[in-house]
Amino acid sequence: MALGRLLPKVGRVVKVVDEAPLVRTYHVEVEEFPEPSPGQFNVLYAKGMGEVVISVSNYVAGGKSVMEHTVRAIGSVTNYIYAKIGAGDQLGIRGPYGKGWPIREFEGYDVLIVGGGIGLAPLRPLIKCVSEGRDRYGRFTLLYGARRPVDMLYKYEHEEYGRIPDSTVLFSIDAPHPSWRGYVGFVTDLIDKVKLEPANTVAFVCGPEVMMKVASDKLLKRGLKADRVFLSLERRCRCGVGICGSCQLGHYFVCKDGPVFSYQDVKPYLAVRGL
Amino acid sequence: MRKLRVAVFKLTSCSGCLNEVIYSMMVHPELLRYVSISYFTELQDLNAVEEVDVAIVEGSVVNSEQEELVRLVRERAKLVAALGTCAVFGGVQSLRVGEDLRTTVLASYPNPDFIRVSPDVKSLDSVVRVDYRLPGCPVNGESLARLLVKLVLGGTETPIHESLCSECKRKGIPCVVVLRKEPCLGPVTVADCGALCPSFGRGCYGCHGLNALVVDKGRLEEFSRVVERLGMSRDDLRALLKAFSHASLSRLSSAG
Amino acid sequence: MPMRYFAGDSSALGDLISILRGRGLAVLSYRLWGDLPVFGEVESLRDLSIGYSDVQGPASYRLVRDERGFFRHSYYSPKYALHPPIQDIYEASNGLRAVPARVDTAPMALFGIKPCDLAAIEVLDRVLESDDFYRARRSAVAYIVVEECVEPGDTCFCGSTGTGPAASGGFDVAYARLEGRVLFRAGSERGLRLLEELKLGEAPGDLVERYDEVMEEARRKSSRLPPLDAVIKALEDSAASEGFWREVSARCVGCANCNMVCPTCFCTEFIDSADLSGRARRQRQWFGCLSYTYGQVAGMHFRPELFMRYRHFVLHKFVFYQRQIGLPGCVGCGRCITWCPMGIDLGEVVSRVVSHGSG
Ligand code: SF4
Ligand code: SF4
Ligand code: SF4
Ligand code: SF4
Ligand code: SF4
Repeated sequence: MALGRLLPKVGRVVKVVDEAPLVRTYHVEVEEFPEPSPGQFNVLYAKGMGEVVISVSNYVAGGKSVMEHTVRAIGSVTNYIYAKIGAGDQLGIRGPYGKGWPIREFEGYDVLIVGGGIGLAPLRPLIKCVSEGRDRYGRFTLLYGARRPVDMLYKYEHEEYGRIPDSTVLFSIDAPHPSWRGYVGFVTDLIDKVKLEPANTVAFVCGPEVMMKVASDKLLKRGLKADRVFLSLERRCRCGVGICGSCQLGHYFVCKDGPVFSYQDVKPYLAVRGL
Repeated sequence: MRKLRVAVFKLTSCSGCLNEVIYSMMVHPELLRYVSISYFTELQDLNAVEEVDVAIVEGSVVNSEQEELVRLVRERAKLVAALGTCAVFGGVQSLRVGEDLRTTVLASYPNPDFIRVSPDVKSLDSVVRVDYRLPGCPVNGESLARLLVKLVLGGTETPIHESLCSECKRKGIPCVVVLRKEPCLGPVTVADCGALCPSFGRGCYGCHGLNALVVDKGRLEEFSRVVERLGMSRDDLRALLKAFSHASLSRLSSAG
Repeated sequence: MPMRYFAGDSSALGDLISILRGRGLAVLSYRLWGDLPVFGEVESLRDLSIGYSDVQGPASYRLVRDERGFFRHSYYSPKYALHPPIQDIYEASNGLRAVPARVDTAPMALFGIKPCDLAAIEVLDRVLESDDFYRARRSAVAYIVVEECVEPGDTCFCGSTGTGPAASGGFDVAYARLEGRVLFRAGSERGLRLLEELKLGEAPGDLVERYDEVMEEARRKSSRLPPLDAVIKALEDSAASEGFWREVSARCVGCANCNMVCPTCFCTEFIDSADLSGRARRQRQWFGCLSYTYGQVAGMHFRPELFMRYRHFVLHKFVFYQRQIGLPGCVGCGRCITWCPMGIDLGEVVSRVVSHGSG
């Protein structure tokens, strides 16, 4: 019996973009691949080295679709990709997997995005979604912070973000830097600085888990409901389809039931250290 | 593919792991086509401490000359691999730590004047930064071959930390503790030997070293009581742990 | 329709094995391999572990020859056959064109498995529902014949988890060995047809009565845990109590024997290997959540301390499985108690959680 579920398709890297130190975006072209929805992820396979779960940060449809994957060189497989894979090389790819951002369910709402560091990657398709369907959503607010200016992703797009009509786009870095004229401090501080209409706002948050908890709690304090705050969680994800058991958080399989959850659904689990 | 430049250094050890290096290349002769060796005194006549991709260091550090060599090696190597339990934890010669040095030396060598050793036996990572740890007394040659292949290909192994018991059970080996009431150090020992001892029906000696990422002082004490009830004396256990886990034993945390 | 019981003697078991083998099935059961009980193919009655008794306790297993004894199980469970310890996933030699591994799907019958292990298969069926590899092996199982436990062991607590000592569904034939007789009943149409082939007589009423008594006693014996609802509630309440979990896990050394022997633990880790001729292989192997790497990602760890992983093990079994698949993940087989080298008793831990909660 042939077993195809975990088999990768052959993808070809058509472009590599340097984003930040040790962070690059790999544009992977592949035939007959289902369209990912914002917030879903793919599993990339580096031959002989292993797989790694990477959110899709952009999708361009076509006979051969191209998907962008922002990879930070931090583990054995990502280091390999960073060091060895360039334009023209192959990467195995399977997906798209997981539940993405429920953006379509919130048409008519104000959209608030809070991103930290490499956490902007899964949020990027949301920005595109709002800016391309501008009339379907209310006010758009984007708060994005990174450690240093150089660590910010998609710098080449930031100006475009600012040109989205009826929007507030604020950036922050953690510590003062000579080249920086924006806010210095945590990105979550910015939540206090923006105008919000809590009853009509949906928030999408991604970044380090501590940052997401702080952001969510602040948003609740500002009157948002916990079921209108969505987070994209990270866990040890291996198979991507809920059979290897690695990514469990409480009774959830993060890869299959997430990675996007409403704060309401995961708050009790996130509140317990190491659960 | 560019050849992987490798150097193999031996410090204080029985050299058993060097046999495993040679073994891994005999079993995987294709490796030789992708590896160039600039230093391996047990294998070739011309040796120089050059810039290399990987320095494989076998043995523990027992005097200042070795410390200097190791520092030089670190400077010239992109990656350093500690090979075998001596390099990773100190090894069997750690048994002399705490004993009178002169007595020990006299007991072992007819001409002790040539022996320069310090009182402590150091693991490689207590002297320089180490990128890979391949414990084992001797090391599993297959593990080394796997690592070298991945390094040649430009990648590396993905580390998985688990105890020997997982490996033992996956192989379906009958547990000597539960079935035969014999002591076995598998539960607190780092996996990767292929559960060699239990597969021959005897308890693990702990030669791959203590699983110090998990086992703290309290747990080690609980475990000691268990093996004691199974007939291994405290002294014997202490000797095994000192021989195979010296460096990690001295770093054990007391917190749960 | 009232349940129909049939009676025979142990030769009927041998006949049943022959019938199944006659249908081209590999018959798998607990069996002895030398002096070790394993799980593997049997050819006749002689291969079954009848005539032996297993004496199990924390960190202790003894097999004794005992004509009147009752054999329960060893560390092997049907999991070895359905969700093997190491499995090839695919190989890629020509560039990235990956060729999936093949799975042996020769038809088989599971014979004489205990009700706890039967319940464990139902758990695996649900949790690995979308796992091609599991499904391929599972669909090769043509018949399940269960041996009900007239004599639960000292580590068994299936009565508490509602998974034994009698079988309640999901089998074709169930039998109980009672004082020299064997009492059969069918759990499916196919099972009934098998029994008809055996040409057994209806069981006499007094034998059926005796069976009911014995099973009731067996249920009492294997119900040493507090009620399951109380266990679940207490576990939920205990989750945030670090001190408690540190304390109950203080003797655990994280060896993951419990995960390996547990018939419902399904977690796996992937292993990638390569050679220098351009071939690459992907495999998966059992991986226990008590092991250090469980919860670790590059650069950080979500369950860095052992008490967290131990807590996850217990909560998963009793609380989270329930929410994932609507069944408890612990089937009360007691294997994790017997094969824990530290002799940690899950039943006792769970009872302590309950008394901790109410105390
Ligand atoms: S024989 Fe040793 S290594 Fe194997 S399971 Fe038992 S205790 Fe662990
Ligand atoms: S747990 Fe129950 S069903 Fe399983 S072997 Fe024990 S008595 Fe039988
Ligand atoms: S947790 Fe223990 S008792 Fe429960 S099913 Fe698993 S091995 Fe059996
Ligand atoms: S108890 Fe642990 S190893 Fe077993 S299924 Fe649950 S998470 Fe996996
Ligand atoms: S078998 Fe026992 S000691 Fe080992 S991880 Fe499980 S509970 Fe801990």
